[in-house]
Amino acid sequence: MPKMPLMPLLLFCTLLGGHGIVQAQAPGQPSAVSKTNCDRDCLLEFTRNYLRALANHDPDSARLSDTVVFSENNVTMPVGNDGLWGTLSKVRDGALEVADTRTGNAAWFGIVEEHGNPAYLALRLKVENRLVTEIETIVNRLPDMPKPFGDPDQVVHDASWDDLLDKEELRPRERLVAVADGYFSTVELNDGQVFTDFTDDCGRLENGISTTSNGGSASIAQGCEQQFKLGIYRINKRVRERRYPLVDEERGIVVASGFFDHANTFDRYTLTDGREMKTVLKWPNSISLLEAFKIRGGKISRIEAVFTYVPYFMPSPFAHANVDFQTR
Amino acid sequence: MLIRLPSALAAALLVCAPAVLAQNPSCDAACLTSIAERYLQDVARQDASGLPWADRVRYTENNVAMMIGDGFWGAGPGVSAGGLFLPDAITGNIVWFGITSEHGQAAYHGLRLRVQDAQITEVESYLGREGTPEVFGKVDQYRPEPAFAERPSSAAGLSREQLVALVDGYFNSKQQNNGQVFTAVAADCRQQTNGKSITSGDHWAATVARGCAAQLRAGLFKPVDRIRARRYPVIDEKRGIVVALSIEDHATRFVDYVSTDGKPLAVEVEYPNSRGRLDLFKISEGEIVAIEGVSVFLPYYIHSLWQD
Repeated sequence: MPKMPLMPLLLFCTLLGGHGIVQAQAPGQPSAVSKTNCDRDCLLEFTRNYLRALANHDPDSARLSDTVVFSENNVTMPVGNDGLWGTLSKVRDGALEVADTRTGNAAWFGIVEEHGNPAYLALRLKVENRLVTEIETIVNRLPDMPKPFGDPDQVVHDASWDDLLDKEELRPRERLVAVADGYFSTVELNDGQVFTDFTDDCGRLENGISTTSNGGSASIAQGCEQQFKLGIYRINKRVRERRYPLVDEERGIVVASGFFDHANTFDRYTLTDGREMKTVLKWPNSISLLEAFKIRGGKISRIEAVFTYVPYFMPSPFAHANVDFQTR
Repeated sequence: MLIRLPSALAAALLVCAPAVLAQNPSCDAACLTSIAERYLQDVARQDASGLPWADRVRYTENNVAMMIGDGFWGAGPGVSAGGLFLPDAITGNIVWFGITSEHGQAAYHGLRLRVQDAQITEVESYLGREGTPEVFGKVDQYRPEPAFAERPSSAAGLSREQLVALVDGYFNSKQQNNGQVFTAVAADCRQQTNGKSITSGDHWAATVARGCAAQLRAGLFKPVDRIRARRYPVIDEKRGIVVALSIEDHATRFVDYVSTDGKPLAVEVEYPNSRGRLDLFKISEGEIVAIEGVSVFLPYYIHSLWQD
């Protein structure tokens, strides 16, 4: 019987050992089998239960994992007494709710009150083994720098978010993410080139304001695609740390997270039709957001976002390091 | 030929080594000031290529790490003449406090450089800009606190540790402020933040109590939950100046409170927030006589990239 040289044998045994088996799984996955022991209703109930716990200032009832990670506007902190946990006075009825049974994530876009003051909240929970392991919150409050903040009493989430798509409108998960990612690529360095598709009636609600029909950028151009073709959003040097933790294929919804970096290397720019624009802020700043996309037949029909200002280039605790952006 | 040191001597050298290194003999106060001046000139020209960078450099702006060239460096930067240079050859740090601009819009700017072997290893900037919920005094009405231009101070004689203890006691007094004061503050102590007087004029705190000491005794800063990540990178014993960096947490679990003498008060911002601060403390006759600095409105509980 031929003898195997010692070093290759040791290497072979190492690969067969515990580490070798773990590395054989799909990258980033704890197991080669995805167990979905919490369906859509179950996931949505987790967000509702979390918000009840928040309103009652009772973290013990939030079904939290021992290792839960909680962030508010990208800062991690203990759960239970800090941030919203120390200030929340009410959770208002009416919200956009999304769930992804494959990734175990659920999202909630709505309005809460802190000491009676309304604030826009976007919440993402990750549920594993029927315990919450990640809580990501973006809270948009006043007073702050100039930004959209719609009348909280007038906010209506478009009814189409809950529509189950017809068969011909359905798209696979990867394509839905590609359409959403194309939106961010269009926003980044917006110069009129459009990297995604929109329905003709596409509308966007940002912090409770329709910015495609009657507020914000809508005063310059109306409609999702029309605004991008004008290059209104050129100030976005980067759309960074893009993540897509939720996809609901039946409803054609993607929930994304990311940052819009306004480096403000310039404070004036020109639209594609020749009009000159001035940046509102003169200094570097970033916008941190959770954003939902409704995609019908491969085209974005509705967008809803909650965002707030954060210090320029601030990272997310849930994303990889900024290595991709260090040399830009 | 190998020279063997007696083990006791070798041990003594090891113990002493940090102190010897900490003297930073390769760059004295004049050297540090020269590097800071060059840095400010070059940032205004947006040309970092001529600065003496170390192989590994860390740059943060308002407590976010980024590349040199981004942030303030890229935003049409300008540097106003003047400002206060505060070198500390023992720690190898120099702090500059002055006014800069982005596309012509002025900001109060606290800059810290750390220099090792005559090369820049750390750059930390705090920019107090107009238009955030934090206080901001109009630049055309700004007058630098004169106490910091005085020299030498009668504080000479206080050790570095004593100077730091006074400032640390100020922070201990301010956090969870209930009127108890853990430091020595002159009766006429003045404070400016982002060019705005906190202890006189029309600032809300000044309308309740005037002067640092009176404000601390009145418990005006009760909403400050914690002052953490405190660092004291520059101490000037001769001039009686300490530069402090810190993060102030306002959890805002309450919005109404009362001063120690019963006056009803309310927080300015009714949601959780933190402030990143770079403050200069002037100490004379064993008391804090003036505080001037930059304060930046930040997401609540933001972690310090330099210490936590």
